[in-house]
Amino acid sequence: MPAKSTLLTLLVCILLSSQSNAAKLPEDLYALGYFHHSADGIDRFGPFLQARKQLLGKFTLGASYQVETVEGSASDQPLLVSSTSDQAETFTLNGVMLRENGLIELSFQQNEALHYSGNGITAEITQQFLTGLQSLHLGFSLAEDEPNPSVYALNDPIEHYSAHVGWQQIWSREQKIYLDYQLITEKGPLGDPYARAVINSTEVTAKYPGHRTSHSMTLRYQQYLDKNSSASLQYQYYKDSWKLSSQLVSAHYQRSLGSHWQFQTHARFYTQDEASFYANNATEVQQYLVRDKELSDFYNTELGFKLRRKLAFMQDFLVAEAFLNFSYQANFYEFDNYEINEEAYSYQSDLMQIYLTAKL
Amino acid sequence: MKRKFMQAIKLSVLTLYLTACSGIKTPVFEHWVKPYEKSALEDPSMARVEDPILDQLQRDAHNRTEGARFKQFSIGEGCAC
Repeated sequence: MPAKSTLLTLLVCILLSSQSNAAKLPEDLYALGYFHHSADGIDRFGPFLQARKQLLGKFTLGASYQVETVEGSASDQPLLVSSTSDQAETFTLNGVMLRENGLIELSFQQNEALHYSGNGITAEITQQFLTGLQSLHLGFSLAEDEPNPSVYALNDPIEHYSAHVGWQQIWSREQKIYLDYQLITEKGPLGDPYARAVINSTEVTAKYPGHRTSHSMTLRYQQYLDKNSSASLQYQYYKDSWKLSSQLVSAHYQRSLGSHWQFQTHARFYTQDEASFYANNATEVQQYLVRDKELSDFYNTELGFKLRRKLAFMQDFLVAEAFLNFSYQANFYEFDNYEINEEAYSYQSDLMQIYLTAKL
Repeated sequence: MKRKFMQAIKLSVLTLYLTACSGIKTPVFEHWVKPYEKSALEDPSMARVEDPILDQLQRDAHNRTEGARFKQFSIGEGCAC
């Protein structure tokens, strides 16, 4: 169709016709750290390592490696004994290429655990255009998880496809707005393999649909306050084919404290409506039925902070800049339709991370 | 109706094309923030993802304990700002 090709040509021309203000590559970074996450009887912890280096002023190459140990069992996983322990290794390679007014990113990820092995690839294009106050973000990702059939009876792989389109708008000399739409489609044996369903107080096998498609919209507003100081507000809406919907509001604030300290804090409120096939205690058999608390009605409130200390003495060891980072957040979950001993359940989740970052 | 809609799209795209490619300025696309006025926007605290290491960890934690699914696409640093 000539009309379509003309439109396409014009659109490409617009996208490529950006003016000044070149894009910037991610800077060199070396990071070493440790994290601990505990939530409802499950502890996840382990070390991680990251390295990133600019090459020829046109590329940035990076790699990361993480070992995660998982221990314990959750209140809605009756099939999992509390002494269970698993270890997952994640390896990521990524490359960023600089174009005159944009970036092209490509990353590859591989996971190895007792229960599954997975790999995935992600591509992202960021392009500044028109008057340089707008940038378009396009991304696509596909991944596949292969369950280990010797551990539990699942043979089919789980496939994940996701895409997003984002728009960043510079609103003033001190304000930015970012709008993003994300689509995720998954198929295969989805859901928690250790979850059960309950019918008339009797545990039966949980059944999840084999397909899930989700849509989400994010709107973020960022305001510059002072050097190394800003505030942001974010709203996110999510809905999927399991009839689960959620809303999220979060606020971030950061500032420097003297010449060596940086302080950051955030508050987050999340609420969700349950999936169509979730039941705490169903009264009749359904095609799909689970008692998986992540799919139930609940809300949570999160408060967190991060402190970053500049390590000036590291300059004596050929390090251009080094920081010690510590972050902690607590998240309080309140369930409406998930009960233990006929009482609405609640728990607190904690996430802690300590890591060293440096530029050589 | 469909034809009018297509004509409106073509006209809009042509306006965008002229604005972007030929330097003819319209009030809509005029620089309201000059390149030399962007120093505040380029402050590290104004990055799209301020700390990608922490952001990834938080996202993993939320994906495990909440029903909604979100994915981080970019490594989060560098910018076309």
